[in-house]
Amino acid sequence: MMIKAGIDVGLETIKIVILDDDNNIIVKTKTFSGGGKRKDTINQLWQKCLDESKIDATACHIVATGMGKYDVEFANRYITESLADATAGKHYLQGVESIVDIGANQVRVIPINDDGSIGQLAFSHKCGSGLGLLLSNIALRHELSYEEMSDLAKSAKGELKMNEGCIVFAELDMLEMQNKNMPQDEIIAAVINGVAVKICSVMNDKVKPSKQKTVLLGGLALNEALVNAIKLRSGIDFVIPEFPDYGTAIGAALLAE
Amino acid sequence: MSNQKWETRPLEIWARAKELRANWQKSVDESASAETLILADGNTGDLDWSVGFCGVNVIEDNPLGAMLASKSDSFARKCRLASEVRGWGRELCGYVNNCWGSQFLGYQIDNSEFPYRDMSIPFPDPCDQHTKRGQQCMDLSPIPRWGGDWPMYLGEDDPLRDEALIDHKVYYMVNTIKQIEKSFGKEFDPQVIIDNIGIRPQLEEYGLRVSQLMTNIPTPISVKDLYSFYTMGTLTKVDPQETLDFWKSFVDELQWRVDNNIAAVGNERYRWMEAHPPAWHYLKYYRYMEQYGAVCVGSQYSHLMAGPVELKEDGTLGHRNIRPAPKDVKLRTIEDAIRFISTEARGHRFKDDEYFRYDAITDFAKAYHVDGAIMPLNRSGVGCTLTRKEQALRLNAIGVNTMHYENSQPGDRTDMDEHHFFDQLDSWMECQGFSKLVD
Repeated sequence: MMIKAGIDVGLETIKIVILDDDNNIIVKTKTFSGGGKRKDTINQLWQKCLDESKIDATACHIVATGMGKYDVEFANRYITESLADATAGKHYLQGVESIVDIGANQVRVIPINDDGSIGQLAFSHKCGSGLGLLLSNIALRHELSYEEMSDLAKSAKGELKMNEGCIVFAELDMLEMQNKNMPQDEIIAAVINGVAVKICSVMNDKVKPSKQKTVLLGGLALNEALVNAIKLRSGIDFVIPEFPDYGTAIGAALLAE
Repeated sequence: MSNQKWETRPLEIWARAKELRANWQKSVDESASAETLILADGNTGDLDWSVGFCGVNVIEDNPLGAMLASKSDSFARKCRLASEVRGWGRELCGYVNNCWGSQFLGYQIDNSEFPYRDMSIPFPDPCDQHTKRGQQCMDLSPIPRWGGDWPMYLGEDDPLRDEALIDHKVYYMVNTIKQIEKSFGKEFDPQVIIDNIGIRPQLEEYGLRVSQLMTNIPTPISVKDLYSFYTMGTLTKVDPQETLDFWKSFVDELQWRVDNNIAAVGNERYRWMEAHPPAWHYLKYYRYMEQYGAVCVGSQYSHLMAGPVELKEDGTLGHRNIRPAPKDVKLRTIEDAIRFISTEARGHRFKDDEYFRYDAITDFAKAYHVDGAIMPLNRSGVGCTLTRKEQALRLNAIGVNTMHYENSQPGDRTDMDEHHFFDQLDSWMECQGFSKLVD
């Protein structure tokens, strides 16, 4: 039996999935990327997967993706995140027309042509980068978990607006609001709305994602308040798989041979 | 690299090109001590000032600024800082801040004295910041600065307006000549201009031939090679006859390469184009793309050497307007000469095309059989974001895949995410079904 593994080494987290022949998830796990010791972190996480699943490493075909993919020195193949996302999107939704991935560093929009080939990609550029990182930093400053952030934002009236230009200015703007003792739920809602604006600007690039057949992937897809804000702005009824944060890793695993 | 389909070999013309370029650079370096007047020209205008005025040396700031960006990041940064602290914003232009920063420092990249200018005639452009051009040298000294015009109108061609535009060009250029004569006590010699009137049309003929030969599959040279040659005789002027001889040799060699299937990239399997100049400090991306068997055939900017061109019905490139042969035209005055040179009233630069010749970019893509296009989104100056996305949509509509990257401006590396750019290139190529070709 050939075991297919996908390892996505992202800016913030490393995700590993192992699939069986029928593309069912045998193992999925993730951890923080580990900064300067990322290679060690990858090796340890991989070993942990093998130990817990009792899978023979030699039976695995491993595809690595993500910005840190080349730190997976034992990978059999390296692919870009866009290709992994496209593969995952096609796996999750028959007739998928676009995939949007919102992660710690980047927003990617991947249209799929009628013949199944990948269309005109759109990426976040400078000032739209690091949106996930921004939300993590905000959560840290407010001593909130991701879920608590989302819940707070959902309860806000949306009265505050903040800098939507770049994550550095956004964070400083948020600190000013904190200094002025503005309500926490409103601050969080303002941050999330600002992030939604940037994500939507990428989605308004060359090819607008399909309203009905767009798969949403990436860690930020777990933030319900953010997803609602994006839906409201874009009118897109996203298809969100069960583990959107593992989407890119799953796409990579699907390409293992 | 594997999958080599065609032979490759270095160009024989390299040595000569380097020599001519070195001669030009020497003329710039020695300008400070030479007993000539130095004219700062933002780019090539319609008149060869150094030909018409004896003892006037023209130094263009664009090629200098680009050269500094490419040759020495540390010196270019120093120059830009020298400009910025004096209030010249970064968003002005990397070329300008490099060149005039060197002026503020007082020395050139080789530590030789900066050749301070005696006058400035920056060329105008229907975009970016050209109204600020030539101010740095004007304010420093002060020296006279004459502004040129680049009048335009949108919409269909209007012969009456064209006539008025040309008349206006003649008027302000003649006026400028008179003022230079008065300011510096120098006499303009229109006969020399008239006697040499055939040089520019001849250069454009050669330029067109090079452009046509690069439409061949495989292309005999890539745009990275072309960058070493395309300014000869325009932005980097040396002896006119030497220039013509050089271009003839260049065309002959490229023709031979096409006849013998000598390629720029031996495993060419993907052709891509650009819009506007590249990031001069980061030309390595051309070689990076060659790892995919992808060769860049240039842009409307790089092929400006051919003059105004269009896609003919048979799919080939040809001049848009044909001038009569100089021998067939009676040129008696400088006004006649200016009218002869000015083939188009509204100008033909690629930036003009963005405003009223919308098909020019798709015609370019068709002529060069391109598969993809990489378009800059620059904050300022040439390559600025205006119309970049619209052009991409037009290219997408004819099946050309496009990618964008952000940068400050070709002469300024400050805001370019170099590593991210390579990641994007990988994603872009992989999603089109291409992986790197390795041994």
